[in-house]
Parts: sequence; structure tokens; C-alpha cells
Amino acid sequence: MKCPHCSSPLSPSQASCTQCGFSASAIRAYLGADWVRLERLTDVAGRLNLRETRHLEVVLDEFERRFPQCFMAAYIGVLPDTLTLPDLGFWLINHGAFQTHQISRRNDFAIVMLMDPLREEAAFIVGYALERILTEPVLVKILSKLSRKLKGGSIAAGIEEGCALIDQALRRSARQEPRLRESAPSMVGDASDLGLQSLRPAPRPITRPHVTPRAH
Amino acid sequence: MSLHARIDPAKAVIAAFFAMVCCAMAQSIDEELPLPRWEREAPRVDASDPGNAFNSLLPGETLVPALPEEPGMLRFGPRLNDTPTSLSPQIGPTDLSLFLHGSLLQQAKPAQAPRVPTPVMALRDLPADLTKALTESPANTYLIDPQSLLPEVARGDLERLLDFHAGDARIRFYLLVLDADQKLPDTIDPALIAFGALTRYPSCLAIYPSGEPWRARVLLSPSVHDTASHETLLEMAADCIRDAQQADDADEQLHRYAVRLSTRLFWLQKSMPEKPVAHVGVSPSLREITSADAAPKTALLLPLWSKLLLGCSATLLILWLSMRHLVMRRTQPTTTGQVWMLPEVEAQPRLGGAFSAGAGAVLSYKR
Repeated sequence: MKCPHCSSPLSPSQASCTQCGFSASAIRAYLGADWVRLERLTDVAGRLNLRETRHLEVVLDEFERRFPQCFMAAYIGVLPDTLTLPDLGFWLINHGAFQTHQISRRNDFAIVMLMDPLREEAAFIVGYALERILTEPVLVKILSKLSRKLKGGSIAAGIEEGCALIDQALRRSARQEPRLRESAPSMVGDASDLGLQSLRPAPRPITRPHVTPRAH
Repeated sequence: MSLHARIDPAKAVIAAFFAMVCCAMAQSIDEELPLPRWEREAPRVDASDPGNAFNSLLPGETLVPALPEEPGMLRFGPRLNDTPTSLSPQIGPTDLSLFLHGSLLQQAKPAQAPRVPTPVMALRDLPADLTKALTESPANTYLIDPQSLLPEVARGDLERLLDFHAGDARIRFYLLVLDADQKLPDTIDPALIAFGALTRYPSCLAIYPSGEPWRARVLLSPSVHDTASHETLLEMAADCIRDAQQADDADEQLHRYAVRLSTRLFWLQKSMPEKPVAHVGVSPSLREITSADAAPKTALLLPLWSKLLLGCSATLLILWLSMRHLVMRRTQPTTTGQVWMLPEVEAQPRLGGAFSAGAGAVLSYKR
């Protein structure tokens, strides 16, 4: 395990990085502690046109249909010098309410792709549930495959290919099941009809309650 | 001198009286003279003497039937276009063809039912005694009809056509007429017909089953066959068959076929060199225009190692395509009704992050 800010090794019990002092509270002090609403495609740098955005929305929808637990988001922006791409990724997954196909997906199955066109850097940050599948070597390999397109300025093509490569990597560890039928709406109306948008439900506890074995 | 002074009043009175008398007489003649009347009933014909109604057309007879003794009663009228119901079925207007040339009454022939093609299994070989007659047919007889299938008039027309063709064209045109259910035996070499004249000169032999132009075969001597492309020759043969099928009558079909093929041979000879190319070492056999010629014959003559190489290449190609298909199915996002479920894992939160500890990878793609 490495620190997202300085890449120094970390132990699971550490609350902050001993080298640079990075922690959740530190990044919250910098970016805020509130939840933020985010689209799956956040293009602050203005590198995507409308057609590319529409196409990537379809690509991400398909990804979410194939992997009902996961979702993928992309952020394109120019970051200040004091902030690294993994810093922002860390904060986005922990504080972002992503407007996914199904809003109830958990953020620990999130994959966030970040790109800074000025620094010419790209990063993948994943939640806890995907750490063992999308390990750092796997993600580095995927990023190296995307580098040619990103060098050419094809941001949209890079995101699409990155989604396909992530898809391929996830299938190696997944089991195939028939697609569930679309369940009927649980309620008659929808909050969106009233012009309201619901936020993601409160984060569940990370660890499941341990079941103590019965004493015989 | 005035006008009244020149007319005699007495003469004028006489002339007026004479004119009145003439008008009165003419009126009485119109009323009294009988006009010929036509019987509404069909003429009665003696069934024991069929054809007597047309005896007047025979030489020596008067063209106009004799008038009846009773004036004003014309008993027979011009009824050739009517088919009397009382006539026996053997007698009709078409009986005139017994006395006149057939072409004059061509339109009066009854429509023929479309011919049913003879099944291949029902085809029979030309009798053996006739095959010998084919080989001994004179070289300058271009219409070969050993069974005398053609009527005399049609035969004469075709002979004149083929003679004219032979006198004016460099490609000789032989026409062999068979019966509808006949075919040339496989044992006969068409090159031997007419004492082998077809191989000695640039020639074309058309083997035509009467009434079935779609089975007509066209054979060319090698010098003519090499003149044009295979597609051109196929189109020529098909064009002749197509033109023959414009007619219903078997003789008319043959006539159209011969005229068309003669015309196309004239076209073909334009692309022939003035001096025919000598085919040294080539067997003097005729070459038939068939669609089977389009298949490359060299493919069948490949050596064994080439066939093995081709087979192995094809197998490898199929294997590679299959593997590629499997890999593509594995790697490409599927749109079928399958979903992929990931295992649920327990993770210890780190750095105070509820959902992520910032695990991932960064890559710089600077040039």
C-alpha cells in the first residue's frame, strides 16, 4: 500500500502518512468535508465535445449494465500544483455522489479515471472492493496502453479504451450470471418528476458485523 | 342581244316536261327493282361431300358461285371468316392451306400450347444407323437433317440461308437437326461429321433439337473458339436461344435460331485474323461453348503437394479465425443478457477513507 500523495509505503493501521502527513482529514481540510454531486463525466478542462460526451455516456451505461456492482467515472481538469491526481481521486470516491445509472451503487466499487491535460498525466483510483482485482501493475499496464491516444489528444478515445480494458480485467475475477430482469418500480412516483434529485444513501459501515459463533 | 331573246319558249317547255318524266321513271325503277338479300340461316353443306364449298377455288372453276335461278336470292355469301356450326370439325377455314402456300395463312394457325421440355432421362441417342450418315454427309451440305424432320419449305429456306452464309462468310455454318427427344451420342466425335470438314476450315456446328432450342449446342473449331472471350461466346449462344424462343412454332424457332447464329458468326469473324492461327500440336477437335468452360481447368491438375499445402493453409486459416473469434468474444464487451458479478471482499479502511484509500496508479504521458 502506498500513500496517494507521496507514494511512500503505508501499513493498514496508519491513520496518516508518516512521510507527508496525508490523510482523509487533511484532504477534507483542503477540498471540503461535504458530499458533492458529480456526473460520471466531469470535464472541467473542456476537452470533450457534445458528441463525445454522449457517446461516452452510452459506453459507461453499458459498463454498468455488465457489472451491476461497479461504476466508472472520469474527471478531466487542470489541478493546482499542490494537488495530485490520486489526492483528488481519493477525495472524489470518499465524498462524491456520482450520478450513476443506478444511484444505489456503492462507492467502494468505484473506478475513477483522472486526467490533467496540462501535466499530461492520467490516473486510475479504485475503491476498496476493487483493490485486489485492479492492482497497481494491472492499472499501470492499462494506462500505458492508453498513453498513445492520450498523447494524441484523444481524450474520449482514451476513456473508452480504458473502460474496455477495465472491463476485460474485471471479467477475469468475476462470475457470469444471467442478467436480472428490470424490477418494477418500488413506488408510484419518482422524485425526479418533482424536479428533485435524490442523493446517494448514507454510506454503510465498511466492515460487516462479525457473527460470533454459538457456543455449544 | 339580251338573254331572253336567245331562248326559245317552246323548247324550254319540252325540256321541262322531259325532265319530269325521267324523274318519275327513276323513282318507279327504285321501287320495283329487287335488291339481293342475304340469308340469315347458315348454308347447308352436304356432309357426305366435305369441302365442296371451296371447289370454286380449284383451277377451272368460277370464283363466283352460280346465281340461283330465282332472281334476287343469293344463297351463298362470303362466310370464310365465320365458322359454321353445322360444318363437321374436319372442315374449317384453315382448309384453305390445302390449296394455298402456308405462309399466306400463317395467322390462321391455332395457338400452340407451350412445349414441355423433355426430361434429361427421357433423351435418347440418335440411332446408330444415322450416325454413320452424319460422318458421310457431304462437306458442302450445311443443313444436316438425316431424319428429314423439316418440311420442304422450311428446308429450302434454311438451305438457301446456309448456302448464302457459306458463300459470304469465312466461318462455315453447319446445322444438324435432331428430333426433340434426341441427342448426339457421346461416342460420336462431332469433328468427324461431314468427313471432318469442320476441323479443316473455320467452322461452327450447331446441334439443334427441333422444338427445344434451349438444348441447342454450339461447337466451334479451335481457330474460331480462340477468337473471342468465353463470355462473348456464351453470350452469343444464349442470344441465339433467346431469339429462337420468341417464336412458338418449332420450324419458326429453328429459322430464327439459324438466322441469329449466322448473324452472330458474321460479327465473330470480324475479330478473326485474316490468316487463321495454326494450332500446332493441338488435336483437331471441336470446342463446345458451355458454361463449364469458365471453371479453371488448372485447378484440377494441381499436384498433390499443392493440394496438401492448400488444405493445410485452409485449416490453419479456419483455426486462426476460430481462435480470434473466441478471443474477441472474451475481450469484447458483450451486449447479451449476461452480467458479471464481482466478489465481495472485506477491506480495512485506511487513511480515514470510507470507500477508498486512494489505491490506483498514475502515469505521465509526456512526449
